[in-house]
Amino acid sequence: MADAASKKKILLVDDSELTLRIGKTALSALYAVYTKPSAELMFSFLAKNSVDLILLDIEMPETDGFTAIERLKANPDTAGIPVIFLSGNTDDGSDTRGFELGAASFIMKPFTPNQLLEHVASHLCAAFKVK
Amino acid sequence: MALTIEGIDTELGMNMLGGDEKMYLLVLGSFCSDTEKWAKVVAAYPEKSSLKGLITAVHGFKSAALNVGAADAGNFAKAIELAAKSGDTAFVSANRERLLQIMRVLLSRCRAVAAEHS
Repeated sequence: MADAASKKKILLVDDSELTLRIGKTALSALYAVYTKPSAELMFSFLAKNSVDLILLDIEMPETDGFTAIERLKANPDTAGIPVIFLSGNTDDGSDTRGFELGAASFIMKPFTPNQLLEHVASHLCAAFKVK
Repeated sequence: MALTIEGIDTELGMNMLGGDEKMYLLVLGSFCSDTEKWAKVVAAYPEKSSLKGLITAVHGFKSAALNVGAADAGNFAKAIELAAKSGDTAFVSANRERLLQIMRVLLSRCRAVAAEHS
């Protein structure tokens, strides 16, 4: 198991306390997990911290996930951070729009802790190989 | 003893969390916090919350309900979400009160179970 200093850092952003709880519980053994309940708080966090991966909800009050990823990709400091969208929609074209905006992948809600863990692990592994 | 909550398939919800009852109870607590927050938005529509705000709240409730095993509630929320996104405000207005009632009843039942096991 990785020690705290060498753990990959994951930022989980969702307005649902339930999703933040499940995500943090699922990922904390292997990763350093930070949770934020809004996109604006995510931007404040990223102004002072770096992360290896962002898990980003789409439907959020105020700044939604699509607007948030546009801002992330427009900023040279955050443009390179892979973003995986958390989506509860299967039939509205969200995935197409998300990929066009630069999303690396999608995880459908509701998800199990194992599904999340496997998805994140495979993505971080792929990102590592690309580097 | 198995958890029983009317309107929720607790076994399904628990299986979503790997069969961990302790974790499920914690998640139920979060479900209560979320549902209370989203119910306020639904109750405030259309006077004090926008259609966009309603969509976000109903969408959030849909996902959370499906996560804990409340499939009927989740599917009803999904129907309202889809109607709202397509601009069918008549359907939304006709069903908003029923959704609110479902949210409040589930909230009450889940709080009772959470309190019983705390």
